[in-house]
Amino acid sequence: MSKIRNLILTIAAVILFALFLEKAPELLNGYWLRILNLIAINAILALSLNLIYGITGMFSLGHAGFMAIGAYVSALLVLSPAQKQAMWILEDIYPWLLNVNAPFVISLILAGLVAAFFGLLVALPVLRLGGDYLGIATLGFAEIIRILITNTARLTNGSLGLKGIPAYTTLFMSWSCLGIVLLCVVCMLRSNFGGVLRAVRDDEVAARMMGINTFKVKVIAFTLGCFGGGLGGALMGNLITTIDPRMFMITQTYNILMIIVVGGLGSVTGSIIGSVLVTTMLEWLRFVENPITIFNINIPGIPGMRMVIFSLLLIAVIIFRREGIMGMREFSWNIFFPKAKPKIKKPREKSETVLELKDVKLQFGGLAAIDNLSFEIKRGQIIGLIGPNGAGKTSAFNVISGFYKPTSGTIKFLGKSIGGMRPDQVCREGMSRTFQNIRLFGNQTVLQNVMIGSRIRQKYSWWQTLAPFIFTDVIQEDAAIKAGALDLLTQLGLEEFADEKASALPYGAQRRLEIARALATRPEFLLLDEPAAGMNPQESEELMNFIRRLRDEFNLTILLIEHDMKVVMNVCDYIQVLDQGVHIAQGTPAEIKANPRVVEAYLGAGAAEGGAA
Amino acid sequence: MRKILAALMLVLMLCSVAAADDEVIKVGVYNCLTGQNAFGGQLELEGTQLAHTLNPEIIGKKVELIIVDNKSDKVEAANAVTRLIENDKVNAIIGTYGSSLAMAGGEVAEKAGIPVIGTSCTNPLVTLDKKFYFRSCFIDPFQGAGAATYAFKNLGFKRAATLVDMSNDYSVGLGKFFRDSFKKMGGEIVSSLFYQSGDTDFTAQLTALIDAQPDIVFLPAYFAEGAIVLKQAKELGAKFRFIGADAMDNPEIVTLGGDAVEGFLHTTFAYDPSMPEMNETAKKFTEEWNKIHPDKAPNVNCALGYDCYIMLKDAIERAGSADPAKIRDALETIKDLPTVTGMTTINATHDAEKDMGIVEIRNGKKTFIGIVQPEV
Repeated sequence: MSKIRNLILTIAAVILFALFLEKAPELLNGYWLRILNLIAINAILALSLNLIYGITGMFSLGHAGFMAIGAYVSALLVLSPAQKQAMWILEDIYPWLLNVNAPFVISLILAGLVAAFFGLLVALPVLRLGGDYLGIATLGFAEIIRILITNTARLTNGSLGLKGIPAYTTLFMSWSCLGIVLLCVVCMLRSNFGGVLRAVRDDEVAARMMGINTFKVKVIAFTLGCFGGGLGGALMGNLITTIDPRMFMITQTYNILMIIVVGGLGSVTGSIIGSVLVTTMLEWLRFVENPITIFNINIPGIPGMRMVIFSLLLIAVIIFRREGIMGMREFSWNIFFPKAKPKIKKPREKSETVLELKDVKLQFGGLAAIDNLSFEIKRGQIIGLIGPNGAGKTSAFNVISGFYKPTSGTIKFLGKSIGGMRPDQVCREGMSRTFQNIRLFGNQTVLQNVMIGSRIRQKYSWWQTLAPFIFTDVIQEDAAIKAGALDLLTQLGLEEFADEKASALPYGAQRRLEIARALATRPEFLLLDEPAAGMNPQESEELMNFIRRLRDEFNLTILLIEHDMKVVMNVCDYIQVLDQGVHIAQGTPAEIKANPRVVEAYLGAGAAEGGAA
Repeated sequence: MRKILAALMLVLMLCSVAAADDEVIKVGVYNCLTGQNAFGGQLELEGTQLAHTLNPEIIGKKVELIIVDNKSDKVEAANAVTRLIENDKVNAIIGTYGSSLAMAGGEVAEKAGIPVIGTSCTNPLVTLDKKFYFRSCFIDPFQGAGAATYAFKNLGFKRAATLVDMSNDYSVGLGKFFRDSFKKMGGEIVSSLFYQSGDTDFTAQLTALIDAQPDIVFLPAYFAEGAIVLKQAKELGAKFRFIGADAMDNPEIVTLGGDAVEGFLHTTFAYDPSMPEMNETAKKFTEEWNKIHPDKAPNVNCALGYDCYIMLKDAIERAGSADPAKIRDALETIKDLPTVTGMTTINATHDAEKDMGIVEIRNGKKTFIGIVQPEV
């Protein structure tokens, strides 16, 4: 019901706004029309950078470079041969370029595509870096583009720039472009793929264990963002009608960055609000540079004053709302209506070796974290992996789940060798895990967290999410995944939290959610890293039942690391013991309890003798 | 807090409402008052303001100057001109320093049919195919040829080199026109080197220049880099001379450059406070300038800012009206108008045809040494 209502409201709002744009040339003077135009272009640029930085979490400072590419591609395509001939006064233009011509809309698409192509070229090597390094690398790239444009005078007319570009960027053009970009971005972010993007930002490690090829996802988001940058640059060039390389300095990127920070990193609504605010404020504040008379006091105009005031306002925003105006929230019609109760749908459902390690060795330099570890796990078993601190338990988990590549030895999972596979590949083979320090996608809801775990079972491609009304699979699959995720939450007793932010959950519920998320990948084999950490005796009692239930209800084989001996001894069918990377014992709980080497490893040599005596 | 901010904004908004007046001629000025070109833009604005103070009325109507900053940014330049035309309803516009900014603003004015007089935007593209853009300055090909003529004919140098800022349209253009002209006269270009705006180390280029042994190096730099080049050349013991262009015309060149700028030549507009024989307009300008700015000598930027206003005044008087279209027509027919920088004539491409001066730093002083006739 509310969906239909919201759709109608959205369409009505769009029609109203379109009517306003239609009437705008009569209502507003050319100055405000220009600003309205700039708002749309800035919003496109902000959305595209937000997709890269705010939503997928890649700190990129290269947007000006992609804008430059877009602006030049479009300008070179729409300029007439006669204009080009007249402009290349320092060096001759390439003859083939002289007669290249295309309609404006085609030039816009090509501008986006060429920028996206360069984005892809940059992304492939550079996205292997993260954080600050990525920022520096993209900053360098933008500078390189600018210098290339300056120095390829036969192609770009060098530092002289281009002028007389037809002013094709009408109000209609810029706002339709924004409309399309906005629609695509919103659709994509609402699909489960959008959840995946945010998951990569929130916790890349956990996302990989959910079967997500995070590198690929980042490359896609980066390339799409670059498309937007190129499109925005092309619109900008056709609005100003003249471009030159110095227009695309780092300050251009800062302007866009400012918009998304003010609006809220990761919020589409914020990007729109930010571009409206920043664009209009900068122009509107001009009056402070004119002489003003207040109460007979003459204040002479000071050039640059508006920048001072503008900066102060920015600082105020950052101080009072560090996360920006919108934070990560989005506009929704629902804020005008009382909240409807969420409905939860119910039902669903469904002697060999699961895992075999042989002489697995993991070495960091001279230190062997794991030394010749060999053991087997049979289907349906619950296996405990114990040992004192630093014994190599978590290292063993990381080798099995693909975060570390074993130095030597073989790991076979369901008969297939998985040594050296990436975590997301391992996950697709049917293995999932939790982490010692809980790694949830904290900014997303409980339901979204579980849905991201289901992404590997979805068939649609990322590009279909740009236009779900054409590729209805997206909507259907997402609905199915959502129903499945809700079921899973119900089974684990988390349904009441479905729409809450994951980071707001109580500790025990977060642990269960992490397991729910792992289960969403439909694993056959589950690795639990210290599930009882931080629990009181009553909670760990419940946990034991919970783990047994997991095995039975989900047909799982479980390997768990645990320090709580009571849990280990009660729940495990079989136990493997490590000490300083060496496999020192294995056996049933009773055997392990009686094993002097284990006691020695835990309590020291003297205690073992005392115990034996 | 939010309420206070909102209230503050409301007050600011109310202050910004201005009244309109038909009996006033509105002249918009858009120039670089902040940003990287602010030093030039400020000086030009002061020149224009001086001319306005001396001529507050034209054809019996009060003239109001409306000043907007373009932040040395193209988008802002286009916005500023739109604002002047649409919000302030100006009759004519003066500005700006920086050709790329003039191109952005020019497109808007062209569409609206408001005449603009450029101060020091010397790129030929600025007025290309424009009905409404004029300028009070000559253009880069003319100046490049002037420097070449002076070096070849007056100084008798046969071997020249250029050191050009690759990322600056002004510098690239001048460099090319200098080389073309110098070669045409029969001279030899022994080396053609480049740098980027913002560079601070020029020793590599200077060493290469010393090896190439030119008689003179043409340095069409902005003042920031130009001063460093001269200093480092002195330190490296370069024997050749340097000749720059009007962007090196800065009152502070001697204080900043010290003995490294001794003997430095630059082409400029035919005005310098050190000129022995000034025309009446230039004399008046210098006198009045010194009254207002006793501690700052005027330079060509101030003079050009001043000249734009004088040109506009002449056009309005001859048109007998402040109608933008009539001002435009009158601007087109400016001929032998006495301005600070010599006699100004507007040619078919809307550029000012005027004499070109040569300045040399002699004994720690900017010295105007004469006028050149470029062989274009």
